[in-house]
Amino acid sequence: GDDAAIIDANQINSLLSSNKNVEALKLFLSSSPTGVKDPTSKKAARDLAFRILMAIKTAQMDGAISQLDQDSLDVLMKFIYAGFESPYEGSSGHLLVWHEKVFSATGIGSVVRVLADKRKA
Amino acid sequence: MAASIQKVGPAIPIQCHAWSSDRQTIAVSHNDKLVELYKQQPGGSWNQTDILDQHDLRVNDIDWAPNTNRIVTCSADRNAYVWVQGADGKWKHTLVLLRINRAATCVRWSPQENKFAVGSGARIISICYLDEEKDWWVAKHIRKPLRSTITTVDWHPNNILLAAGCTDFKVRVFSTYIKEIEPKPSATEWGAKMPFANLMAEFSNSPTGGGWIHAVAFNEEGTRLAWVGHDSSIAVADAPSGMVMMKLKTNLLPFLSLLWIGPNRLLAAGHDCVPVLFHVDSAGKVSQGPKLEEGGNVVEATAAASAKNMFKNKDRLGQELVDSRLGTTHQNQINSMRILEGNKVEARRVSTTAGDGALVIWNLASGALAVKLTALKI
Repeated sequence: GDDAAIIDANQINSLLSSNKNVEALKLFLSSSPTGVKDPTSKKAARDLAFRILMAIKTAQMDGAISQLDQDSLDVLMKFIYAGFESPYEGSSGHLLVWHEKVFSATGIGSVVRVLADKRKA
Repeated sequence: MAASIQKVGPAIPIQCHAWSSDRQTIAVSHNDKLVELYKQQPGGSWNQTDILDQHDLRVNDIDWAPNTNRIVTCSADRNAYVWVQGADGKWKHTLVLLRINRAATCVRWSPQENKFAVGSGARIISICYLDEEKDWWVAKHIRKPLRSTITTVDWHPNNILLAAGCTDFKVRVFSTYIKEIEPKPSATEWGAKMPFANLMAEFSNSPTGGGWIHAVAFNEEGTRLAWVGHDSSIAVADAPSGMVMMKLKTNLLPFLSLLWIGPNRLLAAGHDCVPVLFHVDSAGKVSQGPKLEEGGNVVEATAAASAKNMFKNKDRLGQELVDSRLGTTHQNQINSMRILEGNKVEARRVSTTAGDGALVIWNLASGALAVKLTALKI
């Protein structure tokens, strides 16, 4: 069965405002965010993902990635590609750095799973 | 040499291959409607001895029964043929009406060779057996709960249970018990009641979808079932421990074929063009071992001969360098793998065919590979 998404947007927003960006990322990724079904909530999930990814600075990325498990990394890669798909001003450059770092941790397998998995970001 | 390339016909992608029981003859299909038989000559080259030409469309799978020496082929033309070699050496065909309205995708003889299973795009598995009276192959259908194309089938050693992988991202074990031709089977770890088409077990490759299933394989005793999916994963289900499924998501490209080469060892090959070893521990957990050869995706390029050619290539191809070869023996995805010498408990040599039209034989007992195999934690 599919896990329904249980994204606690308030908690995540409060973590972001207290600059606990990596915590926000971990919480977001473990809330099955790809399980969102209806288009409005999907956009909201993507927007939230985007804010978190942009908030984390390049220097913090390696540390963040080392704290994520395999499944979370797969979900992260899905949102990175979702970000490429619908870019904001200046987002792609930052996402490219994210992509490079996640890729060196997961190899091509996570990219294959972005394409092959039924549940998309 | 650990990996040796054999030339069996032109360098056109090979869809599938199967060996005769004495391993002197190989049946291959080069992505067309023909099945070609090649026999190895004393010098090491391969001569074409027969062409089996009855199908109208591409042959998708071949299987060669070792004891009865019968070949079964299935094709996109929705048919299967059983081929029997006469005393004169010529192969005679018998059409098998599968009663499907889509392409047949995969075929395997059962261990006792009195049945064969054909997967198809019609969401049906046809189980075919010989009606002795009428001398005619009869097909019975397994339909529920298959929702999509069956891509791969493998038999349990008890000649009754069949595993099937599907493009609905699921792996299933069915009973193919046909009371007309065989005694009632005794219970196994997969269950006790086995009426025909009974679903004994079903596994979802992943809660998030998981990609098409490309290959399934029972181990020697039939207690474990392994499969590979298009989400670059390999998984093993263990029946005795209560159908526990352990999955490993790899960092590699997806695998297309899978073999048990030891009681705890799997060999998988696919889009990375090289077989990779996997180890299954007593708890069923899968861990990745080494590739059978290093080389990765090295682009060995040769610079164009002159300045003029260099600019010509820059213009035409967008790059200066002209050639690119993979560092692996195979230059394209491996889609079919067979045990050439040995069995599922101890495989000594394995054969692979790929989209580059090459047949490669891997000697697992040779120096370098043997070291890799023993280095795998037992």
